[in-house]
Amino acid sequence: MQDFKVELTQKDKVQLVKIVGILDAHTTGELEKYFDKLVSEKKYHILVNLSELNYISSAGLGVFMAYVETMRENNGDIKFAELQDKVFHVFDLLGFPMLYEFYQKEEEALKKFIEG
Amino acid sequence: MLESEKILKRNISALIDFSNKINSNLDVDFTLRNLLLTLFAKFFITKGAILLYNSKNLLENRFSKGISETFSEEISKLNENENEIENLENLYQKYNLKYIFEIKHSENRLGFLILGNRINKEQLSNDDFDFIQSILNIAATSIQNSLMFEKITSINQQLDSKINQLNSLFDLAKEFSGVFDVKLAAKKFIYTVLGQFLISKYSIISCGSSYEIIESKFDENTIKQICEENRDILQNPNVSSITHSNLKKNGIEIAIPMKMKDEIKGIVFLGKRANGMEFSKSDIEFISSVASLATISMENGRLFNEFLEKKKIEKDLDLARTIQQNLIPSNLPKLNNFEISAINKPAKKVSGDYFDVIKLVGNRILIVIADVSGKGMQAALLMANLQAFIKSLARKSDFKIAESTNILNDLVSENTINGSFITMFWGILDDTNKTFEFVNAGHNPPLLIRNGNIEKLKVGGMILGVMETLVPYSSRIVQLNSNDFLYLFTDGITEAMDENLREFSDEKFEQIASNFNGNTSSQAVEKILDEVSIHTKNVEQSDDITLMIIKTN
Repeated sequence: MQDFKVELTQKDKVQLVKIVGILDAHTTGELEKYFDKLVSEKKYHILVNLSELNYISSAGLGVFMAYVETMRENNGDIKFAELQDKVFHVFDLLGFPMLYEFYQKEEEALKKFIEG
Repeated sequence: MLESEKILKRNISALIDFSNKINSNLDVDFTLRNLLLTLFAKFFITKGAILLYNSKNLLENRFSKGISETFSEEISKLNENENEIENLENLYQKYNLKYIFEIKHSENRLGFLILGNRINKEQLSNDDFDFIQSILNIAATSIQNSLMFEKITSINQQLDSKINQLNSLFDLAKEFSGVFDVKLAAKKFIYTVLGQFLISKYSIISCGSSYEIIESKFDENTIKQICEENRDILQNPNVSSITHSNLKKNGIEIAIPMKMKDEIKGIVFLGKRANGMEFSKSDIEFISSVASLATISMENGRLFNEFLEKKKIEKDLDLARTIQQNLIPSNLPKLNNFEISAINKPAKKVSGDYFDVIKLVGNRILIVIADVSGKGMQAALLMANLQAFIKSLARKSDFKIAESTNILNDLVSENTINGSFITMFWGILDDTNKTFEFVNAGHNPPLLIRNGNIEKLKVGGMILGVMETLVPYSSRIVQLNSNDFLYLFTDGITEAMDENLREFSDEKFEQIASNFNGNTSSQAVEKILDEVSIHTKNVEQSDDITLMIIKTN
């Protein structure tokens, strides 16, 4: 089975979360731990880079739903960048583009976060 | 070139241009925009609308220019009315619109084109009508294609969405099969639902004799309050409705029961969908099926834990049994003047019966038979204690049986819980002068068989473990003769029952013992066991059986 990995990097006030591999019911628990950690550290500006995410299931999307309100209530947000087409398709199918911002490039999203 | 030819040529080129544009596109709005703007440009018109029937066969304002917004609303209201067309005519006149054309494809009416006055106030000519009819014919084909395309896209989207839901189900089913942790199963379940329906707030509550909030993103106090108010429902799995007004007020959109077979094991509260959509019937069906998957998994988790617990207990019992088997002597000492045989058959895995044969200093042998109250682990532990006490007492070089019984009773009394007690008989065989000194602490009196006569060995005192020794135990010494048989036993023999619940009985035991005409103690043991098994036939042994027989040579 393909490795699931989360890499965290801080850029300015933005917390970069790079998710690698497959995000499904099996791996959501792992991602959830990272989000719990971010909330406990009061990091609310989350930029999720999905360039190396190969698959996402509804359970994976659920994690973002479960945390987005907390981020927004604290003047932060969860934004997404560099999604593979097949992954974006799932986001799109379930109506995520109505609720979240998606960017082709990580830099664009960063700029948007920093400029507010 | 004549003026009429010029117009004709201009009309044809406009038609071709329009046709090229719209046929290269499958977007309805693009077609409609082009149609209306082409006509506006050609006839200097500034107001117009295109109405189309939607998939539910209701008339909709799909594209309009220069008309106030209330027009769209009034159009949708038309659908409620029976005289749709008649009312439509009144309506477009109200908005200062002048011309209406039907848009038809084959025999299907797709909708209407409505146009306002020309800016130069001129009326449309017959040629103009012909032109508009031609352009509508071209447009109709394109609109029909675009509508079909729209419909197929929408169906595809629905299919994709269904496939996604199915994938989620498979994903979860696969995942659940390996999860034995209730909380983890709940998490996996809820995240799938959150992702699928764009929900951020939820609670999972398990029902049963008491309810428990497993996970909650709603305020826990609010949820507790709702649970309290609906306690009856949560504790009675046959009721499935919850006070709804309470839920909506607190942002809970739906409550979905987590069912297994027909039993409700839990409730899931879900908040609003972030895209503002309502939960459709099929959405609720989907959530319910995921919920039952999760419920089964959670229930499996519970059963698995129970199973582990049981396994652990069984292992404990096995261990206790091994310990106990090691407590009971496997080899009996060979003596000059006595021949000892013994058997111990536990009823359950762990017995409460105990016997022992311990060599003392001087040519003396301590024999013990005891019955610890209760069964299983507790009896085994008490028995192990008893043996430890006896072994340490027996090491003393001046071991005296009556005094030792006093001490033993104090030790047992201090170490028993829950009113456990022990009946015990013990005695010292002297292998030099064939005497036997014994104390009976409330045990079934052993039989001394001499020449077919029975003597019951009763001297001693009360059972062990009830209270500390207030009245000292007494002992008695008997002189044994050749061919005397001593029968020590527990009530598992005399109370062994047959299928009609009739006991083997003291009388029968005494009769067999006194009539025994064999030579060895092991034959005597065999005889008793045979008779007991003839009596009980196939009835399961209900109590431990212990028997020790000593023959004086």
